[in-house]
Amino acid sequence: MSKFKGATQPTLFKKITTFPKRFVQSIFRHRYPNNDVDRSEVVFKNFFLHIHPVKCHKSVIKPFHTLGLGMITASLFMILVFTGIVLMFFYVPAVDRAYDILVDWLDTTPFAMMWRNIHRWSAQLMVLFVFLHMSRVFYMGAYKGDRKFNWVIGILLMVVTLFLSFTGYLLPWDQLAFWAITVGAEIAGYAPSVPGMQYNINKLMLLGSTTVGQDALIRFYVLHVMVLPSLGGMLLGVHVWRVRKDGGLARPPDKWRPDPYRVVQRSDTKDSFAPGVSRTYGLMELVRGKNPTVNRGPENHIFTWPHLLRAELMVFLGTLATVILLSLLIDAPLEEIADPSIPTNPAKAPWYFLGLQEMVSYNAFWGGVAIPALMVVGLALIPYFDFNPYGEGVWFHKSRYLALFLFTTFMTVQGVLVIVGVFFRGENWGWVWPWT
Amino acid sequence: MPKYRNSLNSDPKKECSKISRRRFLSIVGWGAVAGVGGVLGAAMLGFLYPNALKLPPSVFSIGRAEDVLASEGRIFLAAQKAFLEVSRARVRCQTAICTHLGCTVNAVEIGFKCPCHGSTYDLDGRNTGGPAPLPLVYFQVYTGASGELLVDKSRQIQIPQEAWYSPKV
Repeated sequence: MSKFKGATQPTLFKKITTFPKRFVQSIFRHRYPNNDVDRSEVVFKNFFLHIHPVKCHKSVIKPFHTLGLGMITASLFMILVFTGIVLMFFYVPAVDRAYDILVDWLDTTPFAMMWRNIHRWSAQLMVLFVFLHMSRVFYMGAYKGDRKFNWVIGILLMVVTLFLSFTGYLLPWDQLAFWAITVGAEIAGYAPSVPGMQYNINKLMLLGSTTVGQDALIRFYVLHVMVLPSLGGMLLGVHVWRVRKDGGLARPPDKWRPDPYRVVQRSDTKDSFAPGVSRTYGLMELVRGKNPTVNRGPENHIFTWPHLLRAELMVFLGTLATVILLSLLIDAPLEEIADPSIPTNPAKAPWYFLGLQEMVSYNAFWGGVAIPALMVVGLALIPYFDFNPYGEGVWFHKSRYLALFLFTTFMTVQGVLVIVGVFFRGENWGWVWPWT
Repeated sequence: MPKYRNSLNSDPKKECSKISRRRFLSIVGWGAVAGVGGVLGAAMLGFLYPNALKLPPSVFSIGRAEDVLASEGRIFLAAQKAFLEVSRARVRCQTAICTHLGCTVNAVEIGFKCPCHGSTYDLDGRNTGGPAPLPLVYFQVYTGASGELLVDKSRQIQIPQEAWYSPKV
């Protein structure tokens, strides 16, 4: 009878030929996820994937539960970071070079126009999808309960997105850029300043001067390529992480009737026990058997790998395909080189700021400072002043008729202002009918 | 000999207004953090606020009087963002920067209109419509030592009729 003497020393040949396999194993430290243990490990042992839980509720991959709007927005942010870095390799933040270099680069470099188009259309779509995502979350009541502060983070992300768009279209230093900085800095000048200073401190710190020039361009450049993307990326991480910590996406309670005599570990809530059970239990003994939740996962939950990740990959690829298609079909606009003496007539901002421009054309302080600030603060405070406990995770819950009406009215007014700015404003910002 | 060597530490049995050691160290520690943070924040803000501004000179020349008076009507001085108006051997100079949000206004038949937000001004620059809060001011025109007509942007005239200057030719 032979005795086991331990594993034999591998030959030198084995040591070398097994190196690739051992190297890959040292990176991932789990096997291919074709079983439940490795499907768990692939998520929670991975720095990037563990922003998701190992298992998620099956509702998250239903297309009409979320419409994928948040994932589309996040995908656009990732595309924007990547294409933005590509653009940074050529761009020079100097008033006498920025425009010329951009034009040269577009003419001489392969795929330059495509990179710029992808960046431009992704940025425009990101603004659109931020608002669509916000509307989805509101109409589903997904900001209720423990998710209150995540809505506030979402509002901060909306503000960061708008500032990223604003600082971004200043950089080509064309007519749009120059007069947008001029107007933007003047609006900041209407915000309250420190009394007793010679110049308005907000305007001066934004421009670094009293007039728009090199000092202003470098400031907006640093904000656009460093400060705001870092802030946005960080907030985006917290935003998604809190979704996991809050037990996944908002959804109505499961339909099955909880059994009060059975201890149920529910991963979808913080409660360890089914409603009605008020005793707590200490671990007495580990036993084999089917009692209470041995060999059973939480109800209606599916593995993140592959189900959720596959859905997210599909959304990302769809988004990428859409922006690439748009980039091939439509070229990003570039106006004439900045003329500090006279703006174009009419001087229009991009569509997402035309509602603001329309409001500013009535009053600079109220339309440019007070009302936008009140809108942002008001949106952020919605979860703290909506005391209706019903309708969490349900599209258009009928008990929320007033909230739904008010939000729809607000978004409609903003939409009408944008449409008026885009189609009904002509020369010298006068009223024109678009069909004349 | 006091009961506690640390005079800040009070006898818990007595009602005493002196703060505890823990509270004192907490105040000192967080005070230090707030102080350093405040200084760094103030340094950051001060760094963004320049002490010396590169401002363009406020006085500019519009040429010799006989050349200026040779043409009648209003012309736009692009480099200075100003309108120069000549009428019956008189001259006046007016800003072209909209008082609303700093765009350059366009001269039209009824006065001036802003292309950015639709402010309107009459022929004397008084704000007549749109969001503009103030009229377009006039600048002092005078004859310099060289004999050229100079405009001083820092000397502003609010009343349109007083802005006319009749240079000696």
